[in-house]
Amino acid sequence: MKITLFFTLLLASILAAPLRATDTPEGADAFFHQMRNANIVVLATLKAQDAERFTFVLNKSLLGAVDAQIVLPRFSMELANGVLPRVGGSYLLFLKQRKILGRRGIVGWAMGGYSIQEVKGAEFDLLSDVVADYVRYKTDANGLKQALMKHSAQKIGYVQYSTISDLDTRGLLNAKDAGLLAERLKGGHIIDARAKLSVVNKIKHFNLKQFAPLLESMIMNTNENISVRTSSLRGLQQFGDQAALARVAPVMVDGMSGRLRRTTIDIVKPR
Amino acid sequence: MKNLGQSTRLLAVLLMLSGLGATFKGCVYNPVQKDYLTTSGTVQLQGTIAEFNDAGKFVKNYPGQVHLKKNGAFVSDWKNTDGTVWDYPSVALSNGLNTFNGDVRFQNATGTWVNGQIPSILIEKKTDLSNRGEQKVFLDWSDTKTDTLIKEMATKTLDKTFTEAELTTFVADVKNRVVTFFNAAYNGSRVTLVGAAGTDVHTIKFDGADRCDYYGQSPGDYKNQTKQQTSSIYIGTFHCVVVDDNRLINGTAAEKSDTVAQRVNDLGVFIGRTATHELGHSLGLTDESNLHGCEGMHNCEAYDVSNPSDRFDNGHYIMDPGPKSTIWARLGLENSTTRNAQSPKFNSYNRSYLEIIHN
Repeated sequence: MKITLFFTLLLASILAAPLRATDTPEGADAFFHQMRNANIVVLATLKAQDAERFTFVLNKSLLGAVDAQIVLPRFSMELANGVLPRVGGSYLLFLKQRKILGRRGIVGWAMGGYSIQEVKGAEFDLLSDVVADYVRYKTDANGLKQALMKHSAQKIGYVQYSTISDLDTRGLLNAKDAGLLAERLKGGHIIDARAKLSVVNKIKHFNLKQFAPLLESMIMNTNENISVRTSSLRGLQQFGDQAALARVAPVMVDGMSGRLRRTTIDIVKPR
Repeated sequence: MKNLGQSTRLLAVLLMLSGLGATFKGCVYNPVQKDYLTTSGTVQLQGTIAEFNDAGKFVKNYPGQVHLKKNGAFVSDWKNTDGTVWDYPSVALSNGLNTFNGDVRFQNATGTWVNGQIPSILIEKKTDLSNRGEQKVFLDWSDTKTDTLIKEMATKTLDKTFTEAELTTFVADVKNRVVTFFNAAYNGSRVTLVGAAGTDVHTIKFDGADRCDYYGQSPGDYKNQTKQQTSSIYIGTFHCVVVDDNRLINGTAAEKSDTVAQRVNDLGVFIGRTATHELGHSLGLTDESNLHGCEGMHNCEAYDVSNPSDRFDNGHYIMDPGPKSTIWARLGLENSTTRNAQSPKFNSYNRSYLEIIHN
């Protein structure tokens, strides 16, 4: 289907729009939210860019049909999530097909922000499987859960984050599942910071006190993500583990993070 | 002891927790904020040299010396305290970021020098900001479909059976809570709610379309150069998350047995935070070129990694990025399991910006 001309027409109208910032739901950059709002998912390589647009060439369509060349407005994509595409890089793009006046539908950018993720070539097959499972289990929560639990074991950041975030925000995790993910975290199999944060939050949500040593170890790791460390600190507070709090406290004050300092103060502030 | 500062309290906390024994610290009580913007050319820094015992209690302040650093360079030679207070009455600020820290010391009874440190303070001097005066804001609820959506968020998340009159009251109460949240968040800056749109009025339009993508959107406008703009808040997306996805019940301490008042507060803070967030964008927060924002003009988690700042908190700060803002933080809750309140607020850096441009 030759759609480039139509797409370019749409692009021209989009480019005229002022720079806008958006507020999206928690986990909106994960697969579920993206695929709720998009009906085309492709892997593409950035071929060229200028002040106004990115021009991608299609590597593989994971969902839906598109032309071999995809042109997207530059501003909105840049503001999406900090991903600044570079020429030669490969990306996962979430697009939306919508009708315009005329006889043919077009493929157009309609999702706005959070519609682009950087990927490596070796991840193409896995991403194909993941997208296929989201489509396959669109109306089957249990099937989706089983698929996402499986995919969350993959050591690819965006897939880990997306699948665990979606399991969480879809309400698919029970205490046993959270414990399984916590064991994976403990074993060093979860590498993405936001995936780690989701697991720590579920440890707290289900009050899994047996993982207090895991939380303590992450707090003590000064290379760990600050959100993960802060949430872990709150976890020890929730568990009432004063001995562990005493052990981690010096690390908090010696670190450079203003947020960790404040959190430590908050923990013992009288309510 | 004068005005027990944040770092002093922190030390007390740590000592209580760890039982490390007597510790000495340089405590800064002026300025109160430790991370802020200013247009001033100088700043006064004052503090003490404090001792805490092994129970974490303040013992006393010592006369001694202070050695303040700005951006890694000493501001002066070791300087004596006046009594037990050290004071730099006028330190010149460089354009851009000024990071203050340093050392303190005093001699104990045997004449040995005892050392302590001053935690970092960030003061950013900007020369391009000016007072834009009052910003008027109109909350436009004219799309009546929003009422239907809010009513459903009540009936679908509470056991109670509502009468139509009760639902009408519920909607009015949620809207009132949006107002009180908004006013509290902007307290200290000249942002004023008005009853109608106008040439110098920012309109926040509450939209009732059926959708599930954005909570809201707004034009980014560093320094608020255009006062008449429009932000949109999509109540359909709130409805989608709360009702269709059931995240309110599944993902927070909210229960179907909650009181009506609790749900009014939940939804009022939830929607009010987003209205406050969107206006924040149109006032210039958090510009990526000028205010260290990222991820689509939001508070930048990455900035906190490389600086001793405290600007991102997974949704507890109003300008945190959407995908990283938890639903419980949006509702004004401390975590996902309890009803402990933690009202969303602007971080001190964002607040100082607002207080400069709308003074």
